[in-house]
Amino acid sequence: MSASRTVILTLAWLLVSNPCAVRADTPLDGETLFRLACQACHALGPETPHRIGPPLTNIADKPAGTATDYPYSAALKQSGLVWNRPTLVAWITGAERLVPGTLMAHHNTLQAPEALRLAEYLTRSAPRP
Amino acid sequence: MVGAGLAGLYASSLLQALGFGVRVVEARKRVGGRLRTLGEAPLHSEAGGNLIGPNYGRIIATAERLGVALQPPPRGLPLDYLIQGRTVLRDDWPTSPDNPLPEALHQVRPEQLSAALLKPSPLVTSYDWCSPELAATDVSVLDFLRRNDVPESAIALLESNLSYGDSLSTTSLLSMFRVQQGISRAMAFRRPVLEVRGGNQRLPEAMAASLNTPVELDKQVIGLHTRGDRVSAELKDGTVLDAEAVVITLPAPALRNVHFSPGLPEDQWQAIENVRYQKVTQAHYRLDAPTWKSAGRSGGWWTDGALGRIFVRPVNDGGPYLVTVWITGSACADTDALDDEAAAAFIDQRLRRLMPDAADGLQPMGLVRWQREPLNGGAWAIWQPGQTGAVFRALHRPQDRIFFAGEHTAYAHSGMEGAMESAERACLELARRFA
Ligand SMILES: Cc1cc2nc3c(=O)[nH]c(=O)nc-3n(C[C@H](O)[C@H](O)[C@H](O)COP(=O)(O)OP(=O)(O)OC[C@H]3O[C@@H](n4cnc5c(N)ncnc54)[C@H](O)[C@@H]3O)c2cc1C
Ligand code: HEC
Repeated sequence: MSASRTVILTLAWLLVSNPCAVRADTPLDGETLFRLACQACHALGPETPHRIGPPLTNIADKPAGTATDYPYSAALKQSGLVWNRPTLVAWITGAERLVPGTLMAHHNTLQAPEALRLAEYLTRSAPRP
Repeated sequence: MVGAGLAGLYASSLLQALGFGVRVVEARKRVGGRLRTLGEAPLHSEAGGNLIGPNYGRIIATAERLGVALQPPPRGLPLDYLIQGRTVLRDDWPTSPDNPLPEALHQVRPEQLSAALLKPSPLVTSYDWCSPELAATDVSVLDFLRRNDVPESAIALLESNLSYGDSLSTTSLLSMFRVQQGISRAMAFRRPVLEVRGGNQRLPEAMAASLNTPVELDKQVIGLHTRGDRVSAELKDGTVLDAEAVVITLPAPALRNVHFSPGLPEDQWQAIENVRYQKVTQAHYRLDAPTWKSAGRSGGWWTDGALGRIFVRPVNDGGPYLVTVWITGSACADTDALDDEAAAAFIDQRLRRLMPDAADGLQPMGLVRWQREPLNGGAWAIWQPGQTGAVFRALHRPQDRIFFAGEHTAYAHSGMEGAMESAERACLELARRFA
């Protein structure tokens, strides 16, 4: 699928355009970033209710669009994406460009290293905010 | 935290969850800002934020967390038309001689005209509307219609009941594409729109009650002074509060009344001064019986005159009903110069003339004129051509220890969900520096 190519392009763009945007302050950890940017729409605990978005529990290596009973967009289901660090970073920083037609209306506010830290947090085993 | 509307309350809860001590000051004697419920449930009417989209993830999750019940509102009654003083019943619209539209557009109803004529949209993502590149090529809705040879009769009809500008010539085309996109994105969820059981204001009330410290009401901030590593907030009553950082969630017209020292950069202050707010005047009534039925009317009205639109919704099947006269944009000028009593009488008189069968039954519940309230200065931010790029961005650029949130600073959502989205962004900016 063309999605993987877009991932690479997005990552390359991020590296060029956002070289060291984070200030010298203490970097926010993955859990805090999740709380501030994703938690309202996604559950991440042992019990995994749907919020407006699907639960992100144990998302690593899962194909996109496969949580049970969640009414995904056709666009995401057919995207061919598998969730790992690079695909998650690309999604976090530009979901609507990566998968046009996705239901996730999301304007990214994270800087490149933050997006990476969040992706690492999400792919770690059983993160719990 | 300055302001206890949705943005301020949500930002407060996020910051408290991260371990910050938060003091919330609110100028009004109530929380909720532009969410305001008139009357007592079940006979209550929304004077502010009204519908909760099925895509409003943050609003829905917050309501769920606080045990605030959401429900689909009862269906509003259909609209008949009053165009240049002549009544056209809903079903007659396509064939009526009083339908002023050209033949090709006869089937299109006035309330659908904007969606039918404003296309194709260049927007892909939910935040393309504020892309600086697109904003650079933005035009007014009027220019767009003229370029596309839309007949003047259609343009004249479109000038009535504008919800995102005072006139077509000052309304950004991109901002209208954003509105249309917001509707289709909500519809893509294939679930009903929602409201809060008992009134939307119950949500900010529950949010305020869940904070560690009570919201301090009747405290209006008139100045924010940054000195070294502190910000002091000067209140109208003379008190000064001292903080490490401030999140200010006021709509632009209210920000104009706050003195910043040092002053905000020129472009940011200009943005705050120049962004306009939608005028919305509402007169609310209760009506016990469906009096329009005997006259063969639908109940609601879409007019090109002083009364704007009249929305009627049942509280229960068969009544009672809530009637809202909803006047927007330039039509508000008729009553804006009048005091409350005279404005209410002006609307009342015309409404009773339009709905003579209801005249005895209409019981006034209140008049709200958002543009006349200095604490918001209008219903929501509206955008002039070109403003959605640099002007939009300047509005929320943090200044040292001061962070900006509120509906007018949101990218991917608007209205209530936009207020919530903006709170997350401001808290992230603050947490980056102070966590
Ligand atoms: C008529 C109407 C209909 C609407 N319909 C919808 C709808 O159907 N769906 C939707 O999603 N949205 C709708 N909205 C928009 C929605 O209500 C707002 O976007 C949202 O409530 C704004 O929240 P906010 O926190 O950004 O601002 P506000 O709610 O305005 O909060 C700002 C707060 O700051 C306070 N304040 C002002 N100045 C000061 C000061 N100097 N010091 C201290 N406090 C101050 C104000 O009193 C207020 O409480 C509607 C709004 C109106 C008016
Ligand atoms: C406003 C609500 C909202 C926010 C905020 C949000 N999401 Fe989503 N998310 C959604 C929705 C809705 C979907 C389903 C998309 C679809 O079906 O197209 C989704 C889907 C996803 C998916 C795909 C899951 C799967 O099962 O394939 C991932 C991964 C994801 N989001 C991660 C995030 C991350 C990380 C954040 C924070 C940076 C975030 N989301 C913020 C609403 C949101």
